[in-house]
Amino acid sequence: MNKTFRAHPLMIFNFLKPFLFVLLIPLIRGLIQYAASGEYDSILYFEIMLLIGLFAIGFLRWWCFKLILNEEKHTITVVSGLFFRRTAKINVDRLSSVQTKQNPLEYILRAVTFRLNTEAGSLDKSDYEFKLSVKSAKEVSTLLYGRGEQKKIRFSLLKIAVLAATTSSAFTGIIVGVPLIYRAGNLLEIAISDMLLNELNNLSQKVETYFPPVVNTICIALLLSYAVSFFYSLFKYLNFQLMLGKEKIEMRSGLFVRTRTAFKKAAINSVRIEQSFLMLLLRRFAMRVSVGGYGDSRSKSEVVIPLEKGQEIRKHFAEYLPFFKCDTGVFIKPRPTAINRSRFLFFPGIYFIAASVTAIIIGKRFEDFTRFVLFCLIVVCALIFVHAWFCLFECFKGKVDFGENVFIRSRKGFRNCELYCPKENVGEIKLIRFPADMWHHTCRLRITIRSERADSLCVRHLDYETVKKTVNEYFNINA
Amino acid sequence: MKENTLPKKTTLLWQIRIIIITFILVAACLYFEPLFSFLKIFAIVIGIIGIILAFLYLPFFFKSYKIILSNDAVIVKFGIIVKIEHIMPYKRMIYAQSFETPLARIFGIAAVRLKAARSYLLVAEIEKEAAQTIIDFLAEGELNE
Repeated sequence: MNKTFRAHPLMIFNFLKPFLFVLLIPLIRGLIQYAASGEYDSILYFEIMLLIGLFAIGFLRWWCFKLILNEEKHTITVVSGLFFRRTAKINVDRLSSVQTKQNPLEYILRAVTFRLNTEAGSLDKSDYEFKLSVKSAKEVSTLLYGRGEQKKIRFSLLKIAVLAATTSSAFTGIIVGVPLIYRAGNLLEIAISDMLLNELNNLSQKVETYFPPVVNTICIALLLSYAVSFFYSLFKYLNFQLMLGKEKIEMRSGLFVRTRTAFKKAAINSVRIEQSFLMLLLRRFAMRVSVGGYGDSRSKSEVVIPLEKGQEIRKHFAEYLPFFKCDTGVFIKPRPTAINRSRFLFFPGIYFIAASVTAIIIGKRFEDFTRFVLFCLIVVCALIFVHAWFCLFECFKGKVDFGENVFIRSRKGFRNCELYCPKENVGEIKLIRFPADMWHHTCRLRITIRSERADSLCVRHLDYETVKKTVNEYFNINA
Repeated sequence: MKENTLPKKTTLLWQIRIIIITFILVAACLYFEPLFSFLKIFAIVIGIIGIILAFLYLPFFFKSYKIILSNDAVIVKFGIIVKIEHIMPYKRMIYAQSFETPLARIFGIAAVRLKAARSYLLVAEIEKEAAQTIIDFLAEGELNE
């Protein structure tokens, strides 16, 4: 049985957007007329006529737009276009995700932005994006993924705040904050950026430390940027809810802009358990799933659990996702010899020596900047020690398991990471050997997941012969 | 294995399109010819290219067009000077999309775009019913299995 849905009238404005530039034509005409003869006429009349014409086209395009759902055949048909008619028929099984977004205006008008995503979507764009009424959106979601019982998991504000803190950075804050300040300044015709810089200078001069005032300025600027990024993430993840259905996973989040994302369990390519430095101190983990052709990018990894104990995560998902477990229990681990363990600290050691030597040279060359150089050295050393910490994690906790599911645990940058995926989702296994590896009969093992996102994880200094034998047996390779 | 060719209407549609475009370009060149005299040569060259395209190249090009629906893939073969064979396995296909211009609607034909991850296969205008059959077959037939 076919069920037809129409778009929300708000979509008329979406159809208008690409043609709004047309409104400039009467204005340009008037300017030319004024320059030539010193007079202008009928600008308003033409503007109104054009606006009516645009609205008429927008209305007709909205009228032509249809979404047809066939429950029996499990297909979704999108019909659009006034003169250039487009009809797309998508099998529901081929949808990688369905996303609904609601901004404050849409909330008032009871509308949502509905996105259909498949792996065939173009870069940074959903396959289909349209406005539906809240009622229709709910009905479409139910028809697509069925009613079924859902297990609802809520997370406390503290957990959301920790997630926001760990996913925020000063760099993101700068990217988000600077254009905002610039635009607000332009809009209000106030030099907000200059005022802000003056305030920063005043504040940094008031704080007296061993380090020069420029250090204070940098620290305050970075802290402010981090705070911007933190609040941005916090509002993004606020009100985070996870719904576990029989076949689908749904996430809801957001305070001002509400986002709702649903995808089939079968669309999950891999599961990642991550632990940042802050989470390490709290002894908690975050869980992400990677789904193909999702969201604003070719593929996306979505936070499913913001912060939880490892045992709790397993309790929720061990049965729900069959590949979220180690099969054999026979792990390949880095060799437990003293030399091999010391190799994990080789690069942090090199970085430490290089940073110290560079600081000494610069300090001697520019004696007026000694305190500033010392400050930089302290920051760099702190980062190196954190890096060394994660390297030691890889040394003692890193391991790989090849069973019906593949499991790999290691570090990725400044994060501890566990990756789970079914055997058929393994895209590439790479054995890398540097001269030192050949000398010590070891290798690095990198596993890449077969997905658009191509998640990968690497464990270093594993016994080469063991890895080679296991991989050959696992994939029935006669080498 | 089912082999399909394009209907004659497709050639006619494209001939009309090419003629309209050629006419507009030639008319524009002749209109501005009093200002730039070299546009007269442009108009002649565009006219000749348009006629060659519409009455020589297009009929042969669309004659070479073959759509094969095998058990595992859609194969589209075309080309006169450069021969192209595009194979798209059903398994890699995500969904199909048809689109029709006002002129194509008058002729009762529609083009089909078969979309796969990171690529697509464009089938030139075929009968509307045939296009619908392909879309239904891909959305309901193979993909359901």
